[in-house]
Amino acid sequence: MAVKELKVFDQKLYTIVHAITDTIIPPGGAFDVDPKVVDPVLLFDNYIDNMSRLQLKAIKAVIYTIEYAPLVTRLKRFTKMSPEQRLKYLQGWENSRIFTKRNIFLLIKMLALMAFYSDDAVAEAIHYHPECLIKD
Amino acid sequence: MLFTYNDITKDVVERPDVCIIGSGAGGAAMADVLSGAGLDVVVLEEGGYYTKDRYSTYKPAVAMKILYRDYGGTIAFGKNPIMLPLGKAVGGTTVINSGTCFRTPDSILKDWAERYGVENASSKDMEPYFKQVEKKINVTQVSPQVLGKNGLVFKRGADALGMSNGMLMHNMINCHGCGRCAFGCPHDAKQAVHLNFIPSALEHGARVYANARAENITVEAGRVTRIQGSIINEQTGNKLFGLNVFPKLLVVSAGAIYTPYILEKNNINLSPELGRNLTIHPAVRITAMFDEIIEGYKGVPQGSYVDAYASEGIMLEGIFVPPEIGLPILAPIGKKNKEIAMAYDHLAAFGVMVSDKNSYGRVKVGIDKRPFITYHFDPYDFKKLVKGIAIASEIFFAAGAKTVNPSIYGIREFTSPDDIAQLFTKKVPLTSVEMMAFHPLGTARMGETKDHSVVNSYGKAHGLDNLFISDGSIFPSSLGVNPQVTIMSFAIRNAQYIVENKKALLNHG
Ligand SMILES: Cc1cc2nc3c(=O)[nH]c(=O)nc-3n(C[C@H](O)[C@H](O)[C@H](O)COP(=O)(O)OP(=O)(O)OC[C@H]3O[C@@H](n4cnc5c(N)ncnc54)[C@H](O)[C@@H]3O)c2cc1C
Ligand code: SF4
Repeated sequence: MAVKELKVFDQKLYTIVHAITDTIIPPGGAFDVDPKVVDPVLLFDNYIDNMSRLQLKAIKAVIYTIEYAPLVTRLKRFTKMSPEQRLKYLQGWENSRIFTKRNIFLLIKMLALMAFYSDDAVAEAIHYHPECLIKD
Repeated sequence: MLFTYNDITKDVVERPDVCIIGSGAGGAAMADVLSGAGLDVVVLEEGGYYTKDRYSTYKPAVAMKILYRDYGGTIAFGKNPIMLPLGKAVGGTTVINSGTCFRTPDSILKDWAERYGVENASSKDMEPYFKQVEKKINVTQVSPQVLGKNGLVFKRGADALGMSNGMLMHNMINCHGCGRCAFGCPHDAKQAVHLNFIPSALEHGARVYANARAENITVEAGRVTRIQGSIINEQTGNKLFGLNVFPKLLVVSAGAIYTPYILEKNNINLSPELGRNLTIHPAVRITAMFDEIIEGYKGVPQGSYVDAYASEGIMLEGIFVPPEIGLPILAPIGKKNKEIAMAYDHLAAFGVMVSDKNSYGRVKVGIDKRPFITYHFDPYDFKKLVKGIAIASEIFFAAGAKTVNPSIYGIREFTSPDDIAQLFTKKVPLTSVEMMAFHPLGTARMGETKDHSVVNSYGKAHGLDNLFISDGSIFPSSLGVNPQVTIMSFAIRNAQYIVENKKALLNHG
C-alpha cells in the first residue's frame, strides 16, 4: 500500500497512534522494516479512510481514551510513558477481564495490524509469498 | 444491461414487472428465473460491480474494506459480541464466501414441514431445484491438487482418530488453489452468482443497477407501489442521483440482516416475527502450530470437513486466512506478535460451527437508524461449541501439532492432548470465546400463519399481495450446514411460483 499523507488523523492523533503502534509492533525483534519505508500510522490512517463519520468518531474516542485514561491511574499520559510502561498498560487492555475493554482494544489492534501486515515491505520481511498451487 | 454509478448521468426511473432489492444468492437466482420467463426485471444492488481484474489488485485487507459491509465488522450484540461479516457487491455475500456447497439436510426440510407448516418443500420436491443450482454454479468436489496442506493435516488427524471426514463440495471451475476465496476469487474459479445467475439474467434482458441503494418503500392499498433510493458514488459514498422504481411486484433479497431492516424502517410490519428468530451458526477458529511447514494460505481455505458430530449440530470445516487477517487476531501485542508472524508458515487453522438450537437473535432499526443486531447464545448451544473446540484440538494433536490455541481467553494454548480436559473441568464463560458467524438466517421465516411467520411457503409476504422475500431470512430454523445452495434453490422454486401465478400476482384489480 503506497501511502503518503494523513487522511483521518491530525498531528496530535498521529503522535498517540504512533505510540500505540510502536507498542503493538515494537521496532527490532523477529523482523524489522525500515521506518522510513513503512509508517504503521500512515497505513492505519489510510486503511480506515472509508469508514463512516460515526465509526471514525468511535475510533478516535478509543485512541484518546488510551492516551488519557492512565492520567487517572498512573498520573501519566500514554505518550509520556516509557516503552515498557506502555506495553504493560496496553497488555492490560488486551488481557482485561472486562471483555468490552478487551474487544475495544482488539478493534484498534486489528485495524492497525491489518494495515501493517498488508504492506509489501512487511510481507517481504515475514517471508510471506502467497502463490497458487496450480499455476496458469 | 448492468449499470454502475459511472454509467448514470441523471435520476433513474424504472417501471418493471419486478424489482429485486439485492443481488446475492437469493436475489440473483430470482432475477434469472423471472427474466428467463419473460418478465421485465430490475435489480438494485447497493454494492459495486467488481470483476476478477479488480479482485486481483486487492490485498485481502483492502478487499474487506471494499467488498464487505462495514469492513467486515458487522456485529451481533449480546453477552459476547459476535462478528457477522456480510458481503456488499453485485453477487452479494457469494462474492466473498468460501464456496462450500451443501444441500438442505432432509431432517431440516422435514422439521420445517412438521413444525412450521412449510408446504411442498420435501427433499423430493426440492431435488430438481438442488440439481438446477448445482449445475448452474458448477458444484464439484475440491480436488487433492488444490486442497492445500491446511486441509490435509486436519484430514490426517481425523483419519488417525477414525472420524468421518472428507473433501468439501464447492462451486468452482479450474480452481488454482490460491487461498483467496473470501476476498474475491482472482481467477473467476469460484462461481459466485455474479458469474452465472446475474449474467444469464442480463442476457434475458434484466437491468442490474450496481451502487443503487433502495431506501424507501411505499405501500398503498395493500400493495407495494414504489421504491425510492439513491445512486451512490462508490469512492465517496455520496448520493449522486435519485432512484425511483414503480414495480408490479417487489422481491426483497437484501439478506437476513438488511431485509428485515429495510422493511421495519419503512414500517412494513408484516408479522410480529419480522426481524426475530435470527440464527447465525456461531463459529470459532482453532489454530495449531506444527514443526512441518503448512503454508495454509496456499490451497482452498475451506477444503475439507469433519462431520463425525454433525448429528449433534457440530460441523468442523477448514478456514485459513492470510497473515494480514490472521495475525491481528491470533498474535498478542509486542515482540511475540512478530515472532508468530515469522512462524505463520507453520500454522494450521480449522473452524468449528454449531447449529443454533435454542439460541436466537433479532434485527431492529437502531437509534442511529442503522440495523441493530442482538443475539442470545444459549448455554446448550455454547456447550456444543466448547465440545467442538475439544474435538478440533484432539484432531490437531492426532495430526502432529506441537501446540493448539483454543481461542479461549483465560486458557493457555494446549501443549499436549491432556490439556484439552480443561475445557470440561474449568468454567469456560461465554465471554471468553472469540466467536464469529457467517450464516445469518431466519428473520422473515416461512410458514402458513401470520402469527408465526412472515412469508408463506413460497416467500410471499403475509398481508401484502405483491411483496416476496427471497434470501436467507426465510428459513425457519438453522440449517447446520452452509446455506448458499439452500438459498438459491428456494429462490428458483419461489421464482417459478411467481411465474406460474404471475397474472394474479402482478396485475392488480
Ligand atoms: C466470509 C463468509 C464465508 C461464507 N462461506 C460460505 C460457504 O462457504 N458456503 C455457503 O453456503 N455460505 C457461505 N457464506 C454465507 C453465504 O454466502 C450467505 O449465506 C449467502 O450469500 C446469503 O445470501 P442472501 O441472498 O441471503 O444475501 P447476500 O448474498 O448477502 O445478498 C444481499 C445483497 O443485498 C444487498 N443489499 C442490502 N440492502 C440493500 C439495499 N437497501 N439496496 C440495495 N441492495 C441492498 C447487499 O449489498 C447484498 O449484496 C459465507 C459468508 C461469509 C461472510
Ligand atoms: S482457492 Fe480457488 S476458488 Fe478460492 S480464490 Fe483461489 S482459485 Fe478461486
